[in-house]
Amino acid sequence: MMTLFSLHRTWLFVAAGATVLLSACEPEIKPNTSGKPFSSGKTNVTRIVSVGGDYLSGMTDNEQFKSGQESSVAAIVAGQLRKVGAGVFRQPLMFDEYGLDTRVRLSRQNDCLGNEELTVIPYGIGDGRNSQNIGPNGPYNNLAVPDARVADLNTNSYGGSNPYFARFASKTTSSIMDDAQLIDPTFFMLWAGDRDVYGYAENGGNVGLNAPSITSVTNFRNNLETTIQKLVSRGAKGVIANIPSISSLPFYTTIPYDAIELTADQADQLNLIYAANPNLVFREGKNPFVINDGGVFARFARPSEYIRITINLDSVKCKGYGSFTALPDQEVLSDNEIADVNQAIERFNGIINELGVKYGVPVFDANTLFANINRVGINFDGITYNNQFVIGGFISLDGVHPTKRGNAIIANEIIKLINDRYAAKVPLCDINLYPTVEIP
Amino acid sequence: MLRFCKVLILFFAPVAALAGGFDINLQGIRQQGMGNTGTGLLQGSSSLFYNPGAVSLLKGNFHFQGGANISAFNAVYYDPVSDITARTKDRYTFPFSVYADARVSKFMSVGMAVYNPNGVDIYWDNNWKGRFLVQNTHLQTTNFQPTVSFKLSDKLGIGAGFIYSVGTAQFTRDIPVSDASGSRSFIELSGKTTGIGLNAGVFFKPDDVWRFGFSFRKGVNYKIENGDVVITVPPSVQSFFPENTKFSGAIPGPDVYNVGFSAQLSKRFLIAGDVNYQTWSSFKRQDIDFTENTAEFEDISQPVFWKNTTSLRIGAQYLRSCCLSFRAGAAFEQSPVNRVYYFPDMADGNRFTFHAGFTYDFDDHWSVDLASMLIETKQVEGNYSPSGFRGVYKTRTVVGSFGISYVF
Repeated sequence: MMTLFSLHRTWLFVAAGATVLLSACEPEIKPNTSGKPFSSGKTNVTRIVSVGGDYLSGMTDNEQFKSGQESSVAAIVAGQLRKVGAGVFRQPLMFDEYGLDTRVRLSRQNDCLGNEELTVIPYGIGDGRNSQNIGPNGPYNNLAVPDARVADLNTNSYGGSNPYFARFASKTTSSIMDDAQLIDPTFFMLWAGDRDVYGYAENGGNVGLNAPSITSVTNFRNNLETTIQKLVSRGAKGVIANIPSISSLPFYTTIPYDAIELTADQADQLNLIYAANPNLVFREGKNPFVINDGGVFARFARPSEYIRITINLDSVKCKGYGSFTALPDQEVLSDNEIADVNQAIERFNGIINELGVKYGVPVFDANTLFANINRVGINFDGITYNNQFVIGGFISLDGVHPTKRGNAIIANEIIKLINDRYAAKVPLCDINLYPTVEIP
Repeated sequence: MLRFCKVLILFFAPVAALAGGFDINLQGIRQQGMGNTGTGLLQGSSSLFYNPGAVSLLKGNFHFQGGANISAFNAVYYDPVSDITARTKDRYTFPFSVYADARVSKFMSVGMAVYNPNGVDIYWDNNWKGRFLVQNTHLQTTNFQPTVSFKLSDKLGIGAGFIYSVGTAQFTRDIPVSDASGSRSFIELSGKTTGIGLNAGVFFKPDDVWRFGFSFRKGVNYKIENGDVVITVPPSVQSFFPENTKFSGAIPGPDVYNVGFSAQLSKRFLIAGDVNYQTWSSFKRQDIDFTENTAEFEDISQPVFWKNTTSLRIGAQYLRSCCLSFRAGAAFEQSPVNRVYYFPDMADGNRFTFHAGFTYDFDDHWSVDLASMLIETKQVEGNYSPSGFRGVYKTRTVVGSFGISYVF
């Protein structure tokens, strides 16, 4: 027979069981399986400086703005280095998301034919406060400045010609490298030279006011070497990145050379209009863009040539832009111009390698990373990234600069290089915490 | 400065998988107390699950057993290269089992078993690193098993049952699309599973000490037809996904071969052992077939390539007095999950399980059974190679169980 006592004891067991359950002790991963502890290895990362052009500056969606800067390659790398002893990485943050008002975004709109589609439009105009001078709040660790070319890094009073630097330069007379030396860096990231060739390419190879030519090899080498010498002069170590080929950038590769769709009637009409032009014969269906780049006759674009992503597609669809009206030279990067750009990038990257070896600075091969992502895509944490416009996830709406998540992918590759070359163990960032293109 | 105009875009194709089948191993409170041995044990009506051949050899003419469990599962993920940890949310599940059998003639018993054979309930932290592979997985199955058992002699019994299974499955993963506010985009698949199977066994008791058993369970293929698909994305990209699609898919449960024994070493002391072999390797790919596809939204076929597994179990029972018996047991269960196709909705590893339980007999008919169980998986380094998702996983399950037995 059951006694009161044993009943009591039974319930004690039940209570004990319930307690075990509710405390449901969570499992732990034993830390010793993660190997040696995190450290900066053979580097001192106490004071970090980032120097260069667009790629380290947080430029994305055609603008430098607050959240983009917070997710810049430099900031992400520095954030991870903080876990192994780096100090605070101060950035000349914009006040808001407008930057200097050239940001773009996606919007759902009707095109000229009344078809709804996703379109890139201006983000909007801020209240101007981002132009306020925040120089006195410095010094800043991120001295990567949008639009800065290699020669600009050592140009005194550079703020006079670049509003992105003017807003945070320590003095009106200072150069970017002057301000970098205020940090007395122990570790640097240098990614410069992109604007020395991209400016030319983005203007379709046109040179003029606001359309720079490609920097000469001598100029590039001298200024890059001067910059590296200054950075390493007090024993700092660092990394230097090279320049991605434009064939990896959707700014050039998105619009097909033969995007002119014609009916039989339209083809006949065009053949009539261009009857005197021996270069052009239109057919029903797909036809190449018509280009006027200084020859006696307008010509068809060739499959290897790039049409800029910024072309007005409404004009193409409804106003005969690129067919009835030939495209002006700056809309197209012709074969010759592409060859010039490729040659420049090849030479610049050669110089970057050479100087990297000479000064013992490991080179982050951004060119290969971008090319791999472009060619085969790269798989991270369940998502495949490629360089397709918008959907690829890697490059932002301007077709040139990475998305915030693209920056995180690049930052991790730089950290891997640091780990490899400096016997460090710096944790990688969680790239999925950074957004890709914002979809309306 | 650059100016931009209209560019048409396409969209990411989401890829999805359904859960892998996990054995729940909560089919008998008494067996749970003994390391889930049972193929060679006579512990009442729950033999309907463990070995239908044993049912006709049970003492008494009518048996009933009911069991209820509360099970708490936790998994932790750690990425050693990024020093990031993620955990599953606390989830409690309540598997149950109900068994009844009756002797209808000297040589024949019939019975009915209802139990939860397979299930998984993994809800990872929101925003965890692997959310584009899986956010939540839920699978719950219930088997109905009418059974007949024949006593061929006083020493030998055989039996077989037909299994009809129903259940629910649900799967959620994030879609890599976000709007300016950063709100989450995701796809949710949910549906009802159905399937059929078989459970058969032979039980042999040559003398008063030894009992031997062999049983075979034909795996249930948990099929989902006409499952619901909910896609939550920003409005401007909804047109890239089908408006009203359904899905079908299947999760193959394994065939299970069990061999077991028990030995009544003394009046008070009983030991038991089991070996189980499971053909999980039939689970090669997780296929999801959507009724409607778009260029960006295609059917899914994810490799998992599970492996066949063996489990070893031991248990003991000690009768303290007339009416109180204590049990203890332990088991080693191999994990079917392939380390290079380690999908985080199947967070699993080789398991070590520890069991304790007791029974209090109120009288010759009624008794109450209690058991508790701790399941620890070994730390596993897994890599879902098709997506490049790596990490170290470890899980722990704590189970408390309560049951009632009746014999007449």
